[in-house]
Order: sequence, then C-alpha cells, then structure tokens
Amino acid sequence: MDSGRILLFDDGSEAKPAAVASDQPPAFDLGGMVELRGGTDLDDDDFNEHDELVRGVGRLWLQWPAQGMKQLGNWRSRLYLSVETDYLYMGDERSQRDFDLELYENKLLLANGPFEIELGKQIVRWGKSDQLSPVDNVNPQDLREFIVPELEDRKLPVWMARARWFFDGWAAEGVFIPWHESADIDYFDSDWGVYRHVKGDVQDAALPEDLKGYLMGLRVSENDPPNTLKNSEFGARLTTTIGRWDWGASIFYGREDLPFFGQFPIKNLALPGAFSSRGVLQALDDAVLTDENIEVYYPRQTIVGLEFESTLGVFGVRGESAYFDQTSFLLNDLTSDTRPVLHTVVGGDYTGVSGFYGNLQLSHRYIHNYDDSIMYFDRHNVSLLGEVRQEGLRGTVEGYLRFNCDLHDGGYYLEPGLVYSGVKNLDLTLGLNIFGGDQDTFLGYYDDNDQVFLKAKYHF
Amino acid sequence: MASFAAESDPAAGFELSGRELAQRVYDRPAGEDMTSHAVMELISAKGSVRKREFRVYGIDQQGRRSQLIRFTSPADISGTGFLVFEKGQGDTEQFLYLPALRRTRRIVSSQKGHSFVNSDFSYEDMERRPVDGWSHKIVGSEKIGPMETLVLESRPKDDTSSSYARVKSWVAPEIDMPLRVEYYQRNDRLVKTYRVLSLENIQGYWTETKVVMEDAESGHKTIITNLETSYDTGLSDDIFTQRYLESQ
Repeated sequence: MDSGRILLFDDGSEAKPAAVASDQPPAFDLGGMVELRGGTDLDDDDFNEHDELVRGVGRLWLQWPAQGMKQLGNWRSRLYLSVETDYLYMGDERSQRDFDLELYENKLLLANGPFEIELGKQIVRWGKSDQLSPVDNVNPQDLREFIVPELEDRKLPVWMARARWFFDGWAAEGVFIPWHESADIDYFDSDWGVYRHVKGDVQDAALPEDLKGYLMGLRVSENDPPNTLKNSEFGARLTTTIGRWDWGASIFYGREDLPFFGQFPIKNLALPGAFSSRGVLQALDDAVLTDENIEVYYPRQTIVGLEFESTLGVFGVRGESAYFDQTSFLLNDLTSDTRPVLHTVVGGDYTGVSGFYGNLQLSHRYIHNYDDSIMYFDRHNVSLLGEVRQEGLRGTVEGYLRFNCDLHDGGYYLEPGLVYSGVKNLDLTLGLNIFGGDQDTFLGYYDDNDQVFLKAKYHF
Repeated sequence: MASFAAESDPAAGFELSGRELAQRVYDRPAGEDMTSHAVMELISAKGSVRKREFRVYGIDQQGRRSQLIRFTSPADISGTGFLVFEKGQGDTEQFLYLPALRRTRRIVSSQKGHSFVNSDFSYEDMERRPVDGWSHKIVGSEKIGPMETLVLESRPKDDTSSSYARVKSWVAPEIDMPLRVEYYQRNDRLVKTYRVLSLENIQGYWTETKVVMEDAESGHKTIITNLETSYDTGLSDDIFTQRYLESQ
C-alpha cells in the first residue's frame, strides 16, 4: 500500500474544526487581555482605611510577523508593540484614583545566527524560583498593592537593550538600561503606602492646629538620578545545562528600585519597630520639627546571583541565591540605611496525575551588620512560601492556596481562592487576601488589609 | 518468544513476534523532520466542546526524536510551548514555556500519567513506548475498516514506569501503525481507548490525520485533527532548543 487516504471510523466529512478559519497564518497577531478586580475589606479595622478596591488592567498587543521572523538583510526580525491601561481605585473620601495609559512592552528583536538583540521597553526574567526571586532584579515592580498581584503582574517594563549569544550549550546575556526606573509605590493615603493614612489620622487627632498643618504638609521629594550614561544600569548573565541541571550566574550593577529615605523632617524619632500614626504622634514630644522634605534617593547596588533548576524523581527542584552589596532598610527614625544582604530561595514542586500541584520554597534573607534600629526585619528572616492547587472537571475549576509564612517573626500572607474557567478565554476567581502577625513584622504590618475579591480575566 | 504464525491468520501473511512488531511500530518512519498544524477538541460526555490549536515540530536526531508543540489558540494558552527530548530507554527531558511566567520550566518527565493540557491524552501517550521496557505478545488478528491488523498485547516490565498495567494495540503490519489501542490499569480495568479515524500517505509516510482518545469511564473524549502535515522540509536543530521555545 503506497498511497491514498483511508477512513477507518470517520464519517468522511472533510470539514475542518470550526475554530480554524484558515491554514494560512495572518500577517500580524493582534491580541490582549482585560482584568477586572473588585475587593472589599473583611473587617473595618481603622477609621482611616480603604475598605474597597477596584482595579482594571487592559493590554492590547500586536506582533509582526504573527509567526516566525521577518528577514531584514542578514538579520531576522520581529516587532512587538503593546499598550496598557491601568485603573486603580481605593474607596472613601481620601481614595486614590490612579489612571494610566502608557506604552507597555514595545520591542524589536533582531537575530543573526547565534546572536540576538532586543531593543525597546521590555520585561526580562532572570532566576528560577517562583513569586520570590532574589536574582530577578532587572525590572522594577508595581507595589501599590504590595505583593497581592502575582510577581509576573507586578513587573514594570523598562527601556533597555538586551543582547544574547548562544554557543555550545551556553547562553551569554547582557542588558543595558540607559536610565533608572523606580518601583511604583504610594507614600501617603493608601493602605499599602509607606506612611499609610498618617495624614488622615492627624486630621482627626486632637492636635494643635499649627502642628496639624505641619504634619499635613509633609512632602516626599523623589531624587531620581539624572538620565546620563553615568547613571545607567547594566548586567550580565551566563546560563548552561550540565547533565540535567540548568545553571545560571549573573551580575547586575543597577540602582535600588525601592526608596532610600535620606532625610526625614521630624528628627529625634524612635518608633517601636514599625511605622504607625499613633507611634509618630506619641514620639512627637521628644522630636524636633524641621522644614525639610522627606528626601528619597535610589542608591547604587550591585547584585551577584546564582540559580539552578533540575528534576529529582517526581519533584522539580530549583533555587537561587543573590548577594546585594547594599540594600536599604527603613530605620526607626524614619530614615534609611543600607546593609549587605544575602538572600537564598530553594524549593521544589510536585505535579500529581489527578490535577494536584504543590510548590514549596524556603527563603532565607540574612542582613549583615544588623542592628535593632532596622524596622520590620530581623537579622535572619526565614519564610516558607508556595502554593497548592487542585484542578477539577478537566481544568474547568481550580481551588488554590498561595502562602508566605515567616517562620521567625510569625507574619503571614494567605490567599485561598477558587477559579472557574468554564467559559472560553475567561477566568473568574473568588478569593481572599489575608495578612497576619505583629504590626512590627513585614507581613503583619498589613494585618488590616484582609480582603475578599472577585477577579475576571479575559484574553482575546 | 511468542510469535504469531501466518497459519493462524492468513491475512497477516508472514510470521512475526510480538517484540518484532513492537520494534517496527517504534521504528515506523516519520521522516527526518515533521511539521504539523493540528486542532485538539475536548468533548465532554454531554457534548460540550473546547478547542485548542497547535503546531507540532518533530525531528529525528540519530534515532532519538525531539518534539516541540506550540499552542496558538485559544488566546489564554496561546504561546504556551512544550519541548521534549528523547534520551533513550523511554527516558525524556521535558520543558514547558508559559508566556505568563516569561521563562522556561524544566518539568518532571516521570509523571507520565498526567493529563496533557487537560485532554484525554497523558504525557505517556504522547511518547513512543520503549520496546525493551515492555513484554509483547501477539494475541490475535482483526480487520479494522479495510485494514488487516495484528493484536499486540504489551505489559510493562517490573522496572518500567508506566501508568498502565496492559496495553492492547491493533497494529496494521503493512504500515506498522496502531489503529486502535486499549489502555488497561490494574485489575484489568479499561481506562481509555485510542482510535485512528483516518490516515493518509503524505510524502510517502503514513500519517494519522484524525485520532480520538476516549475515556472509558467518563465518556469524555479528545479528537486531534491534523490539518496540514509535511515531512523532510529541512527543519533546523535550532527549533528544538529552549531559545526557540521562549521565542513566541
């Protein structure tokens, strides 16, 4: 039998499945996603807090060509353009209503043999661990909701040039970021802000009017470094596979994405381990008030990282470690100081045959030259984080629990949820964000922000 | 060594052992390389349908095959890529690229019973079954449509990892292709059935153009339709790399 077409059980219909309009790929690929999330606090913990949240994120992207790459002389190329709208609303009269419409990832990929260059605004992922990745420092993050959005959704694209060279099972990568972009954070009037609702609390407090006026007038001056070559950031990463172990080593010479508070106008403060409006007001008796602003800087930082990933039996294993020559910490006088930090995350995951997935990671963050003036952290900060998921009905429903528990200070974050994916391209999630622990712990500080949320994410 | 003699089934027309038949299935020519565009339909017992569209790239590198599967539809999984390298003796290395994570994940290959993208196919079903890891016996013959087949029964040896206790294949010896496969777990429980619905000779290679895997218990089934397949186009080795996997 040499040729022909044979029907065995088929009805003989030549019709293609309805989803396929044509075998010919389009010239370009247009797509996007819309995510809407609404939440409300589980408890009314404080007079000045936001009890409600609405966030809407939309992205529209275009890739040309739709598949493969376009020949440009000796180079092959691909263009990726995208825009993002981001609306963030947190209720009540002191609410924040942020609306942004901006370029998201916009990049041109050029490839020639073993060389690749990517130019434009982009997100680069380094490291192997999940959700907490000490090595992954190329892009800043949107932290206006702290760690509630997932790591991948928090990352902000930045303008950069990225070059890669693939040779003999190795990949060498270099990134150059011409100007610094800091993380998105709020300072005042946010449940997640550095100073939270101190201004609202001052407004409501029984204080002399001139002191109220002074405190209400506190301002933050962000001193971004000038956009000069001298202030650029750059890094390199080398990856390879030895046996069945994937390895990577990296170095990044950049600037901190989180603020360094070089100056705080109220002197002689000594807060008890965490910022709070009450703590500040109680400490005012011994304080000296100046007319300075809160001055914020972004110091230089060098990060050296190692990463690995493999499989052992039925488990995936991965980890990474990064040494930061200096990292800023908020002190109890509300200024910052820097310390060297060694941060290691190791863990593994397991995928069961019945739709179960478990991921467990251990994080150890060691602060060199630690002293008690550092707020929220201890010398050793050990936490257990990860997630468990169980799919049902062939992926139509999924229950999950994300968690991050500090084993040293007792602070924790839990996100249990239920996802329904029965409608094409749409995921509906009902979940909880629960923070707990003492107020002077990194996670317990947000204890008042427990929330139930409903999220709809649609891809098109 | 069990054998199936021509005398017991004249239609077979030749003498062949179970192992030899299994080896021929394993070695069935699939070209130096292969490119395919396919649609996967997940159909519930009640008839609701979910569709997934993907492209498959395969290459034979000195007898070891590598395969890259890239999903192109629906939008929520578009760009997801799955890369498999055969390492011999049924062992594979597997990598998964999820666009949302922006990185490739090395995944465990020993969990062969896990469903492939919630279909009725498991990862094990997507791989070639290593001949020496199983014992094989021809237990009969049947005609399927116009095709004569030999019924091959395969059982995993003690040191072989499999989610099945027995696999019964109806192999057309003329083209060395299983046209029907029944998968049994312990206690001889039939768990699912694979059938080739149509096949076609493309560039000299017999190719399954439409197949179905049906869950014996739930009635759920998965149909894969090959819309377009081509062989020996000179695919580059570069496609079967993590670099390409991450390049959507």
